[in-house]
Amino acid sequence: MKRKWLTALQRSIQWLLELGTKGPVMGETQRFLLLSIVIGIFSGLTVVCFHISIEFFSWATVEGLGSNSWWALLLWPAVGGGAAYFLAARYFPAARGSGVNSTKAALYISDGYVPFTGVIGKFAASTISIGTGNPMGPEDPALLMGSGIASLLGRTFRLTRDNMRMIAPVGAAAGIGAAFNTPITAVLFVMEEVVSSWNAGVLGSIVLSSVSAVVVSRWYLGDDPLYSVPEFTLTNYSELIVYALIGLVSGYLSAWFTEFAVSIRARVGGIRGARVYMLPVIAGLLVGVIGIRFPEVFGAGYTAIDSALHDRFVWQFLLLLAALKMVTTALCFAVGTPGGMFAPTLFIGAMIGGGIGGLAHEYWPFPTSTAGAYVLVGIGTFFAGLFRAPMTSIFMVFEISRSYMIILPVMVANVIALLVSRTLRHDSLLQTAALQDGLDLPSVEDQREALPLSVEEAMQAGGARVFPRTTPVETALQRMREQGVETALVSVHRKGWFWVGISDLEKAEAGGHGGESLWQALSVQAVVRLYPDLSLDAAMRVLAKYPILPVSSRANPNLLLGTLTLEDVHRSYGIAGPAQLRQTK
Amino acid sequence: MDPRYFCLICRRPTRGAGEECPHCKSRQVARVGATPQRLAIVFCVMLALFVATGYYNRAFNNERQQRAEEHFRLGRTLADYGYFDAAIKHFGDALVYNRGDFDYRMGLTLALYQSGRYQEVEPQLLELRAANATQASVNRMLARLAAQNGRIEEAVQSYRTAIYGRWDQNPEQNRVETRLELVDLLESEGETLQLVGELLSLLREEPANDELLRRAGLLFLDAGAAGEAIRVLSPMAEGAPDDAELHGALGRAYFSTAQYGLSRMELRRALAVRPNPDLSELLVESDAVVSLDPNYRRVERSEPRITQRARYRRSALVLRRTVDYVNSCYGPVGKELVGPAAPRSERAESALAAAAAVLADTRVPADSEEATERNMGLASDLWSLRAEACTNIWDHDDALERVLEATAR
Repeated sequence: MKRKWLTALQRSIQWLLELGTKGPVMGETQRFLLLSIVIGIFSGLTVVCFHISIEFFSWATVEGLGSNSWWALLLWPAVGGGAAYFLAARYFPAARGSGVNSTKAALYISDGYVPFTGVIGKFAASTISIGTGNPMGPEDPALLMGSGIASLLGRTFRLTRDNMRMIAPVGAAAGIGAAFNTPITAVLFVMEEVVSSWNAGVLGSIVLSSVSAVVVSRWYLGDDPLYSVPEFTLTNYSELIVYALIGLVSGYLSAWFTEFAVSIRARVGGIRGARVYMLPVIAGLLVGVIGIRFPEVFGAGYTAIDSALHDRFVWQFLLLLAALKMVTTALCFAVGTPGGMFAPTLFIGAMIGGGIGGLAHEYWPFPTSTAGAYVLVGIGTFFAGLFRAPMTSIFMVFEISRSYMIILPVMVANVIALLVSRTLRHDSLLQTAALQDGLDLPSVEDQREALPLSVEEAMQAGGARVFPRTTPVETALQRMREQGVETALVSVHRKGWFWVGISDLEKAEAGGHGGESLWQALSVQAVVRLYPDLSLDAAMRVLAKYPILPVSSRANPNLLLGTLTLEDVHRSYGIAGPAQLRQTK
Repeated sequence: MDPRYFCLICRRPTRGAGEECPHCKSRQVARVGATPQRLAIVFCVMLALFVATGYYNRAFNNERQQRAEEHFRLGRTLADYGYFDAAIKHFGDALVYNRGDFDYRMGLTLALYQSGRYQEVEPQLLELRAANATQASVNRMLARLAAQNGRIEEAVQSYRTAIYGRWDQNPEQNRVETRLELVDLLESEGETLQLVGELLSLLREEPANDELLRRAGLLFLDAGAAGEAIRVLSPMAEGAPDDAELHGALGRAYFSTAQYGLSRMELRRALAVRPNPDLSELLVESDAVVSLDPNYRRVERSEPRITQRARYRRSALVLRRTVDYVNSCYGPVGKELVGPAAPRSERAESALAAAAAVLADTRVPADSEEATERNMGLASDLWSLRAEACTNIWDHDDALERVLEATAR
């Protein structure tokens, strides 16, 4: 018995040693999916530590030592902002800037590479900055941390270039999911803001990483949503007008905020040398001055949103808080104080919503809900306007409130905010900031809306270049010469379409087959058919094999709608085709 | 290209191990995927991070809980001394540290309620209810707020949830108090049916409380449940001869249930203690019925027994008043006639003729009991004609009506 155990142990050790010399144990796709879970776990753990660190820092500064003395409240944000900026600028340059833009840069520029020093720097700098009361949020840093961890793990797992590119968004979803405690929102945000094209594999990875990160986060921090949300009711359908108004105001203010923040950013962008380090200190001082009287502007502002949700502020105060937070956040963002914009935008939206809702509660001619309900709906409006991510903002409020009733007002308010913001300003804040930093990152919004040209837009309608199979060769040749075309289609009942070239016809005529039908005289080649809704990209792939293609109806594949050639495609793009080029020459 | 190998510099596929990368000419080529050693390292780091985060989180939770408890204690002390604004701040701070704690939020809610900040109370209560739907005190407060704001249905529903919900302290007493609040609300809103139901439930729960019984009895009476009022009040009245309110209420209850003798007795007792014009009027009505009713049975020993002759005379009187009443309906001289008199039906003619024949004989017959029955039967027949005859008459003979109704019953 003892001998058997020893033998088994020996074999196990030998197997383990041999294992080290073998290659990878699974395929690329499985590895990518497994890695997504690992990324989610690591990101979740990091974000939990990040969250706790911010709290500890906050208790030790603005909520602890400084809570009873005005001078401490005045100085902590300045000291923290300055120190965090110094740390990021001097020792962790990869930690500077927006996490969303860094992730997009990894995806579109650096083949998924995010330096791990960025993760460390972002963790430390954002902890100091947010913990000392600067009005920034932890979600964007968490997103970058997720990307950085994902990138490191991707390198560790030796992923190929294509998978490495997609690994940063997977990590971003994990980071933001753990920070917000909202898995669906995280997935949607990455889809709306970071990744323009994706397939089922990428979507699966993003979902897996987000879910595993949220599970880890909840394991440690509990499954409470960001805010404790009171029961939501739509008291009266006329309230939808008020909600639309909230969307209108939030959309307008988000456009103004973007303009304000980028203009300050442009002005301070020219400052060089040691004076740069003074900018976050000055911004922090302004935050401190305001925070002495209005401590609600400190930090991410979750507590203030919670109070607003429970009707603890009057509407005038809510609007004032929105204004103060807008100014302080824009200033801190512009001067580069480490931290994210997510939480502040939620704060501003909530306060705008609550302010307008409170006003309506007093003066609206019909019965309305209390301001708390409007705070909840308002949360996502400013976010939708600023980040141009309407689905994220809608689902975020839905996930936070866990109420189906809220969907209608949230949709109304958020979509209006988005439309107003887009009408007033084309580029979003992050896009403009990236351009200011010298990065021309693609806008997912623009990519989404840039509809590809379809076959319908390029094809030549009708059957001018199609001959029945009984057409004599000489007739077909004459007509092709008249039209000045080199290829044509032969239609054969129940067999589809075949293509012929003018040279084939000339050969047949020269061989004395001019009077015979096309079907008899030639050996024609069958072609595949296209449909009008197909993209030109798909059509081009087929046009590489066939010079002319029939376009038929999806309802009746035997019904010819038109023909498509490479010249037609060129024409639809507005460029000269080979034939035209020859003519030009 | 061998997809199993890639360049570590440009991360593109290469021709194989040891081959030069065709894209960047690097020779740093590696096999795609992590080796088991790397996997093991990642796994170990993950475990270590799990453990470290666990410790960090525990420290964080301890500190957070400690801070929350401190604020909560302070808040409670301040609330006990009536410093509600300061207490609210501390309860709020406690919730910042531990948002999901029921006691903290309850403390805040109570402080807000006691300081009169009702608008802020409701969202807190709704959240408490969402966390624990059967918490009775929360539902009671919600009911009170709903009642204050005129949302009666919601208030009743919340009161009911509170009554059948979970009370942390003195459940019986709290249930009775809550039901009494609900009863008050239903009474003020005139919801009679629900009110009676609640009162019956109340008495089932608290059968021995005299104060409660008296209140319930009076409310039963106001709600039109006179039988229940008698059931509740009569045992109490036996031991309280000087309680004018109780005897007066019983008098009214007996009157409502057509027990005019008992009503007269109770009303006399009540009026002997304290004069009351309403009760006096009721006593007059009771007296009128008692003195007219041939079937009256004495309720006190001190009352004289009614002889058979007296019964017959009373029945004759009832019949005469009925005939007069019906004739006044048909007669052209009806003083309150405002329209054409209804034509007399054959049935009316015969009934009136029979009554006239009976009344013409003023002697008391030998078999007076049977004659009494006959008179009352005739009177009842005639009385039933008033539906067709007396459409235009406004003047009522209340005593006669009550006697005949009692006879019909």
